[in-house]
Amino acid sequence: MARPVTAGQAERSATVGRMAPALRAQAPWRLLAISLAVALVLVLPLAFLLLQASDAGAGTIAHLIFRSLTATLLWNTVRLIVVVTLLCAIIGTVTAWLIERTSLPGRRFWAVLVVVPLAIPDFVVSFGWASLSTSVQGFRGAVLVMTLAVYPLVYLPVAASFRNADPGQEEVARSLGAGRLATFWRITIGQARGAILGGCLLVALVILAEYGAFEILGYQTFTTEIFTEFGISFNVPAASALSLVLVLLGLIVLSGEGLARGRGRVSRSGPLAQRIAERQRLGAWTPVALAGLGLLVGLALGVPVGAAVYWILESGRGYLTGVSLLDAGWHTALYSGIAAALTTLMALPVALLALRHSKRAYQLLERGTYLVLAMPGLVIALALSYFTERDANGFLYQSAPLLIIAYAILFFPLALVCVRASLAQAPPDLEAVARSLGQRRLAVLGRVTLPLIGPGLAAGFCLVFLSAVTELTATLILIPTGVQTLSTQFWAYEQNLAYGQAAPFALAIIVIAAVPSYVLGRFFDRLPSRAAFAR
Amino acid sequence: MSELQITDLHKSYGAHPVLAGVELTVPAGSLTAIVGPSGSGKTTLLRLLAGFQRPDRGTIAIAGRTIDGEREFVPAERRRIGYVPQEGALFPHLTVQANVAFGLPRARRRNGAGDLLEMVGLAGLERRYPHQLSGGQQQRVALARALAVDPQIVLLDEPFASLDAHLRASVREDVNTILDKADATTVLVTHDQDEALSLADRVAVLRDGRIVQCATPSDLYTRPVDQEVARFIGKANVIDGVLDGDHVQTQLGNLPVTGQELRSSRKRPSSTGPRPVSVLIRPEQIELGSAGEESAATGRIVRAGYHGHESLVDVRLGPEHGGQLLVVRVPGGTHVSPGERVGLTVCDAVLTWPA
Repeated sequence: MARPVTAGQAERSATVGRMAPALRAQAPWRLLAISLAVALVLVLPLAFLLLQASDAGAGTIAHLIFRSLTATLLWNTVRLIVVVTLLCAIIGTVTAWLIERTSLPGRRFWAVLVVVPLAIPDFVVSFGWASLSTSVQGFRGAVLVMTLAVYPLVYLPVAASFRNADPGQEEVARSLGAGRLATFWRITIGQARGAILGGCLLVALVILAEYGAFEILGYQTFTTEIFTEFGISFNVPAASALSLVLVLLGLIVLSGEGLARGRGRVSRSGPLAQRIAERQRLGAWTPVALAGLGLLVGLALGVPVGAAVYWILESGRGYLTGVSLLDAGWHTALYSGIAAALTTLMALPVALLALRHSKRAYQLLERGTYLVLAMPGLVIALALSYFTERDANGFLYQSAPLLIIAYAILFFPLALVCVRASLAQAPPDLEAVARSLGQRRLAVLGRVTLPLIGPGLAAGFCLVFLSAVTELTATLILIPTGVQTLSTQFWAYEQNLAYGQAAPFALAIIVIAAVPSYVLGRFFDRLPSRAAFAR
Repeated sequence: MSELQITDLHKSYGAHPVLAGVELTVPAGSLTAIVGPSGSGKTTLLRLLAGFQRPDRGTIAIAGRTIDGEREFVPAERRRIGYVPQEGALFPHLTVQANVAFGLPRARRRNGAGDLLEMVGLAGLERRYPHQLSGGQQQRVALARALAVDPQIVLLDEPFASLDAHLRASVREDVNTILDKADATTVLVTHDQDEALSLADRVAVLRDGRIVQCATPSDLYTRPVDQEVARFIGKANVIDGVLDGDHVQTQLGNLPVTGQELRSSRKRPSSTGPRPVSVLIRPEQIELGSAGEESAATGRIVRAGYHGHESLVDVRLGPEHGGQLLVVRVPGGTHVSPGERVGLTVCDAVLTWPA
């Protein structure tokens, strides 16, 4: 046998079949090594957390977990998750149905407006409501604020699934004697079930990780308690114990993902002919629907923005914070930009490995990286901070690179979703054809692969950038000494009840975050939803 | 245009052999179709030819020059093999013009595609994007793109599979004309034997990783090497018989045998008296008449499938003739109804294989 065909190559080609990788000769071990390195970085916080907990000793940790405080926090967290997730599921699904499937006037306009709240950080929504009325606090306040802040997480996937669902199925259901309502319940909702569940999981994860909004509302959850234990009492064992419980909760929520995907297998029969579903006539219900959407947008968008504007006007021009606003804005953009670029780059090899070399182990590696979703920013930041201070002799402690690494770990799954979706748009067959037309590998990369996946990389960059700009918790912990970002400076003013000074920072965050949100919206609109959500 | 020669080509995925010693010569300027059931290794063979994968063993040569062998390997981009994958695989981010000109040197990319688009009948669509084209148009752009770089060989992978039936016929026609004009040596892979027979100069049947027969369409149809090939290429009735000299005794009478020269040339143990054989009778070799006249056998019509220009009729032979089910082709106007008793006559010389 003269030809060196390794077992690995042969096995890979066998499973890939006709989609044999065109970039095969780029030794997969190199790709594998890079991907493993990325995975290693992602595991760091969890490893540090376990290290931190073991420093305290198993007995202490167990003692700290099994006490009534944990039960209280658990109750607070779980009941909030249940209620908010339910509300988001209803609001998100109904809104998506109104906009995608009915004769609602001004659909394109509403489609933009109902998503915008995603660009407003939860702590800004919280600030908006709490600064206007002292009655918005505690459990009810948290339900109100979180629902308004995160319902787009359900709306987006459900709207996409409505857009792409096969209208033929509804027609068949009607012809089989199912009425309008029965058809909606059994077919329309059935088609969107996977998307709804997927959105609900994201909502639950966000609530688990949220800190700023609850601190403002005086609602005690795991995150606020961990922050207090670590940041104020320096009680590391207690913080570690609670972090472990929090991560466990995250893993439990995440395990529901398999359920969501299993149910959500939406298939179209026949070729992907883009048939548009006949829109449901709203008729006399039109004013009701318009009023409902108007109310939703008013509460979710109008109140936070209005409150910020109100406080700026209220405070007059006494505090002009132009310089510090610019300075904080610059640091926000700098850290977020570098983190976004780094994260997108990290996601590329992992996505390539999983998509182009379909081997069970590689796909497991890729799926494994999604476990990061169970790690709240607070836990990641604390673990990194504690480790660099205690065990690494202060190397990188309170430095910009550490903050950027924390962002990269925290937002890795977001970048991966985008990069993966765009890679799926560039099938290896195209690269094969390009090569047979006489193009060298590098030329193929430049002329075919990059132009095709470019939009996806840009989307990944935007999503991470947007998330980093609106991040508060990890930033508060890891911000380099003497530096402020928009969110930390906002937080400092807000905690001193200097609403007039805090408000411009809130507005600046919204403005900066709005740009990448718009780009993202365009990207996901154009993508076939199968690619975007078939993780 | 150049001859393509494949010698002893082997390829396996893990323990599963896909190609097990493929031998094939594609004459310069001809169109050779490779047919085979799905999973027979057709696409793998094309990918090896294009240079996207390496064989385990064997050589591929174009115009006498080895491009893949023990010591030589010419990478895909230097093979000058035009590859047209299934569904065309047009670059979605490029216009028709840019797609066709993709492989041209930079200086000619701007306006080098005009003639070819004219040739494939798509002049005027230069600025369209692939998603704005119909399936047939996409297929023709993909072909023009492959021809643009003046390839030595053109590979077509199931090019018409994604088109619907009546479009398929016309696109097939177009592609044939274009390839004729371009005088390209072409290898076409398909699982559609009808397509292979009507389009190709030569048809190669790939089975279990080997080419079991390579012949002109009419040779392949009239003289398949074995039952399996006979059944794969068109409809076939295979019945038992006893061969004696140049006639074979069957349930349908004593029939003259063709293909004697084929058999004798292989130096089979020469006829030592009568011996059992399998007999191939194509559906159009049987004529239906009224029962009991001068026909050799009688049977009862089980089912008739009307196809407009013809009908395919299933006939069960009477118990006295063995009761076998036969398929018979009759002109579309013929009146046949299930249950009717008919007489069967074989009107042509038949092919036999040793049983």
